[in-house]
Amino acid sequence: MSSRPTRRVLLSAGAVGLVAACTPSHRPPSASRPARPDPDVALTAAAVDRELTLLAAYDAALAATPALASRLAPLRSEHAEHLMALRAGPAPVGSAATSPTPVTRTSLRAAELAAAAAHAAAAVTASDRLAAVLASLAASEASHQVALG
Amino acid sequence: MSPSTLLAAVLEAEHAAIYGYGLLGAHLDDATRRTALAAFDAHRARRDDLLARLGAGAPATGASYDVAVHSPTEALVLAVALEEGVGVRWLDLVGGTADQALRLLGVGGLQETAVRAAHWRRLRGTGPVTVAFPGRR
Repeated sequence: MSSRPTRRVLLSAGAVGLVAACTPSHRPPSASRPARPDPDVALTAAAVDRELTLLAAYDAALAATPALASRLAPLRSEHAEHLMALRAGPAPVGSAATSPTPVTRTSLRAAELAAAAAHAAAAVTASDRLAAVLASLAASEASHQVALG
Repeated sequence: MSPSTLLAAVLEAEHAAIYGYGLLGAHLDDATRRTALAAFDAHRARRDDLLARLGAGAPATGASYDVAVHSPTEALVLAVALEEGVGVRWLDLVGGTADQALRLLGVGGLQETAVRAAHWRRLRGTGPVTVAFPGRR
């Protein structure tokens, strides 16, 4: 009985070598590397708080002046959509917003402008996905000025 | 996509907006035409800034647009569409680059188009004045 490897064995060994050569040599990052906190989490939490504050402001304005409902309700509803979009990401639960004292259209305009600026600033450093969400929210908040009149 | 590709896409939309505003102004009353003229000027300023940023890499103009305006209502509908079209490209820029200066440029551009679109929707008089997610396709 011959001890020489058969042609089939040689071919098979060659195939194994090829497969080994094609296997990527890099490995996933070591589990021992300290995990950096995801900056999106804090940015999202702050944006959630801004939307909750705006929702509370609209609720207060609607309660104080029901006649403004046709103008304010669609805007409030857009903030509810913003909140849902933010919570689709890596979002912790936002803190409950307290109802602000002023409920006038003037104070709503100021609150919208402040939120627009803060969303815009946050969009600059966020991940690509969150940046796009925050930019859109910043633009929506800015456009609410027009609807508030 | 590279930043220059994203900026070129915004530029393309700005060219279309400039062309469109040139058409629609004639169908508006004096006060509204002044608003359209201000928008026209704003888009030209954006175009010039984008041309300067892109330099020799700016795509050649010369696109033809299949658009016609026959009434004030059509003019307002077109104005909304033009702003929304530019807004989509600004948002693409924001989501497509990590460059902070370009992000800032994109957010500012998107906010401007969203505000103008809301003005035109309000003048149009039907449907909501604002949208929840300006720039989204």
